[in-house]
Amino acid sequence: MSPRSFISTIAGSLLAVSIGAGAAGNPSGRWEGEARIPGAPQRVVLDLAPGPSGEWAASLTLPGRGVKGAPLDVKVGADGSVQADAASAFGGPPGELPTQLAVRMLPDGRLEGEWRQAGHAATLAMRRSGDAQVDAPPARTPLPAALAGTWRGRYELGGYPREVTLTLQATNSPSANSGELLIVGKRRSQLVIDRVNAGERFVTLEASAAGIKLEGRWDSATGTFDGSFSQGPFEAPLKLQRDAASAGSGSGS
Amino acid sequence: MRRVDVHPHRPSSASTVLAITLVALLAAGLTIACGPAVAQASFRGDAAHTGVQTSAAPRTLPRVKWTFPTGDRITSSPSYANGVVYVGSDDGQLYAIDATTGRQRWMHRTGGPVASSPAIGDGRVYVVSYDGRLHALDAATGAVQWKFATQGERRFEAKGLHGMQPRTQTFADPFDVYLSSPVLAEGLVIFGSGDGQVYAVDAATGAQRWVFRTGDVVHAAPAYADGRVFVGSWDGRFYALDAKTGRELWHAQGGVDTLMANQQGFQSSPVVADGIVYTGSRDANVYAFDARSGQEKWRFPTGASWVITSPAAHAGRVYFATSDTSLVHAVDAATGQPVWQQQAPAYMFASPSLAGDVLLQGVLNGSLQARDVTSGELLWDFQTEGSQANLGWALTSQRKLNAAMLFPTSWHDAMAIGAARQFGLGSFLSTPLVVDGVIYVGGTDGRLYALGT
Repeated sequence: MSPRSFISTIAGSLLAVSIGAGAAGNPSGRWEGEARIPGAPQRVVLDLAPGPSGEWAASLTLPGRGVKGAPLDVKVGADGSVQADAASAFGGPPGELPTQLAVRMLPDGRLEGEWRQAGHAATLAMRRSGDAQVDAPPARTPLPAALAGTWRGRYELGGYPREVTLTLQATNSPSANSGELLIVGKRRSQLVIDRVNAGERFVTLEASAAGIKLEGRWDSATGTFDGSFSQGPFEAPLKLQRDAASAGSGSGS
Repeated sequence: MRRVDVHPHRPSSASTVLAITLVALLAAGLTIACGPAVAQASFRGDAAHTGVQTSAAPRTLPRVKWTFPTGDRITSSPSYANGVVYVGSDDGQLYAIDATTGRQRWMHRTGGPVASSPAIGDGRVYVVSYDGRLHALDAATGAVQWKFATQGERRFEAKGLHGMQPRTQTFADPFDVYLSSPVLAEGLVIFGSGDGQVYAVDAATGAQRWVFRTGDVVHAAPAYADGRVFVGSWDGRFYALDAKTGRELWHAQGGVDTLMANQQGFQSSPVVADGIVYTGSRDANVYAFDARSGQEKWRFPTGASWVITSPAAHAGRVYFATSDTSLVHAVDAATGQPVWQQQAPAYMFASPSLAGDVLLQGVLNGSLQARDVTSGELLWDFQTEGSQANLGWALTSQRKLNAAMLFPTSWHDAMAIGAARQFGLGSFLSTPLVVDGVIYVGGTDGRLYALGT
């Protein structure tokens, strides 16, 4: 099993979910159906599985909307009712009105309820089509010690140069903050690097609050990073050089 | 260098159709067996793009074994290696899916629609995304090995394209649906780009080895044979390049449409077989060139109908399908003379796959059709749910595209909106892959289908 593809094997054993088996009250599985939005019916794929400690995990796929395996904050009632906040599936800032699905299990084993978005509500009906395949969040790694240090460089966007100082510290946990990104251009932005996916030669660093991503090849021996800066649709080449004295410095929790 | 002059387009006459039918009848009984086994590890199966599958497809309507939902339409054609099917989606991700169970092994998020087909080799999978990058990933885990940035992707565009109005406005082509699919050869990954260039990068490191500039978008997939790379461009030229250096060996000039850029450009990906390279063109011809000299061996005019499909070639025949005339053709590979032609219900962009004695062909009306290779007769027709639902009467009662409902005007973005409605049928832009008797194909409904008996 790949770390990037968490497919709940536990769910598979727990749910006795042969397709159409009913299993009233147990909403584990892959559910497929349609939200009956007037003039634009929306296909909905919901994956729902219990974890080892009883908490539920869920992800949402909306074909045609570019949404695949978006994690859901889900609540499952003892009666098999399911409520989930789906706002995060669409990205961007949260809207004033909630995006939710709320369904309950019918005696024949189907899920039926409502899809709510932008103050509207549409009937949502789904049938179980197989075992749950809940998507895991994107892979993260701790920041390796070989990347630690202070890296400097610049990029140009829209005709203006931006000076970059990236201060990284090794971590033991993928969820720990790994350092700081300082960008000085027209203004000064100080951001936290909170997502890392580091391989032997390729690394992705994200300041998720600003939607900024630094991505490229790195070489610990030469202290070089050769890649790109991106923020939404904007992208620029970025080369960084590590301060020799800072190599391997610092460690985090 | 060889220049190819363009003849006026002529519709097929009734007598021609009769002659074709007679030839087809005479040819009945001819059986084309499965070709030598080739790894289905890139677009069209191998570097020469023959389209010959390693396994026969069912001759009776298969059932859905599983479907895998993605977040947007699938135009990518699946590839296969070691029990895993790899396919891109316009939702921006490349998926690795267990071929038996349909369960996801991993997914990799790119920065744009993945409208190219993956190539697999040396434990890596390579794919091109609309983020303007070639992504190299570990085939087992999806871990990024390296990425190579081009100068950026874009669709083909022209003023007054396809007669869209106002005529002075530049429109992006809504039917430029594919990105170039990489081909692996001589330790290189070779692919085209919307920036008009053909790139060759080191497969292990991602370092650029050579680049060749054409005059416009290159979204066809390069084919490789005997040290040569073959690819067409939207500049109306078809190129042969030295695989080691990228040096141009020859080029042929296809049609140029200065009125509305409708009848020009090579969107079709070439196939190389027995020293001849075959390619379709939007100029309404299929061309056969001598792979070494570039000399034109023959051309097959389709009557003003685009040939976006990549021809398949096997056992002395070449197979391709058309858009407006909606015909599936089999022609003699040496002469271009028709062997048979059969009417399909709608335009075809996906390429034919040869799987034993079955030809598989995806259609824009949401049908996947299976035909007898020898006669072209229809064996079965699988329809997506979207095609059956026929929202907004996008199809006529005969399951043809309903132009009156899809393309009511030529103003502004009407054609792009009509194309989007058309693809809402669950069209098959993806080319079928057949492994162990199971057909894998993506739909514009966002599903990867596994069909088998």
